[in-house]
Amino acid sequence: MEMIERYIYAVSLRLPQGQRRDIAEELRSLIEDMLEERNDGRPIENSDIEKVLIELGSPAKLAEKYRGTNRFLVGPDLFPAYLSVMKMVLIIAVSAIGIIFAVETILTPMSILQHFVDFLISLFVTATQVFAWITAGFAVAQYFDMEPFGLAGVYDRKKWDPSELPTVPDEKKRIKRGDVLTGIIFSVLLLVVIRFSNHLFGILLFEGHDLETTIPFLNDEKLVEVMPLIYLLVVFGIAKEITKLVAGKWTKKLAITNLVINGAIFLLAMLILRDQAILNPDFVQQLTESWGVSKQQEEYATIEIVWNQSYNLALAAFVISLLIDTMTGFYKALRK
Amino acid sequence: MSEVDELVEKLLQELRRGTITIGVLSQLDEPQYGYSLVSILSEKGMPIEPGTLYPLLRRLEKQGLLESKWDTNGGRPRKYYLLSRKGKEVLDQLKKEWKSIVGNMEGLFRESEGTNDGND
Repeated sequence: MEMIERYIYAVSLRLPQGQRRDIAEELRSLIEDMLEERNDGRPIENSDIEKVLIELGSPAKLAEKYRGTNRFLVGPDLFPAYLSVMKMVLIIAVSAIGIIFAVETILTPMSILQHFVDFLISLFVTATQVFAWITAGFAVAQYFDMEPFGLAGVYDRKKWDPSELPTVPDEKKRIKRGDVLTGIIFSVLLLVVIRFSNHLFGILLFEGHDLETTIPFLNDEKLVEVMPLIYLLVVFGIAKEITKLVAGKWTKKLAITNLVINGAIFLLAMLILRDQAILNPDFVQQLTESWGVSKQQEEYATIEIVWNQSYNLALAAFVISLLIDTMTGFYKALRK
Repeated sequence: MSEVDELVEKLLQELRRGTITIGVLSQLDEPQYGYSLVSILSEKGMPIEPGTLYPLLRRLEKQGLLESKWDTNGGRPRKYYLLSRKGKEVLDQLKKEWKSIVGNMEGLFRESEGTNDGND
């Protein structure tokens, strides 16, 4: 009789909590009915029970029948897109980290062991983050039953109208994989550079062949403060590219989405750059000191101007590229 | 020959799977518990495994075609299923459809046998 309980337990383990008790009761009475009929009054032995259980099928299979439809974290419709996004981002992230490892090793070959440890840690942290976020994003899409436009169309599965079939996109409006890839590479590079190698992101000063010191462009402490915002920025950047990839071609709707996301990216960037607090406040001083230029000299003022102008230039380049990206979207969407 | 048998068996299985629901609904004018249905259906030439029937009964109940009640009086507690009002309506329509399918199929067979005879 113990075998029956074990069987019922094995089945109910695989069922939703709410249905377990009822199904267990029903199964128990079924098995007893079956035993009674098969044995016709003969005392029941373990071998009889085994025969009945084998007839009922394995617990996993029976539970599957009870559950009916399969439930997915990421279902077959979304899976191809999931896989290709995952591959793309993982490959980019791993190569970015690899490049950093190579650069660090070239710069300071003596501490290769330390670099290698850093490399492994970054690899692990990034890979788990990438995996978790992409999976979470697709799981949400699955939960709300979203379908990739490019694959299944936006029409109802059962009552669909052939006139709703998506048109084959014009070659000029088609979104190229390469563009999307570039966008994602840019976002990931930004993250990797800032997150893991701020100490290399600056002016490198060499003593002979060895890296003597770096004068960083950014303020390390402030950077830690705004790190969550930077993560958000990267998430927006990648979300934008994935939206494009899923849409497959430029439409007015996509151009507007692109505008909204770019607007959000702009606001976030302004928040991160607020008061220029993220910049290294002692940059000019550190640089002039290492070059042996004193505050009174004319060069000091020149260096200060160059530093400020470079910042403005970088900011301008960022804003202009956002504008161009936004307008290109509308141009491609609206042209015939 | 065995390959033909295998194919026939496979196709037959698909065919049966489609008819099980109507068969089950047709026997639930009176309340029945799962295992009594297994016996009734197999007596009437429509054998069904309990492992298939029990989940099916539950699904039909969830769809609102069946109502169920536990009977704990006397001996073993058993869950009885009975056609709901909606279930009756659905069954009536299904029966009509079934008859027309049978009629149409017979028509198809007659025709093809007729043309085959004519050609040979």
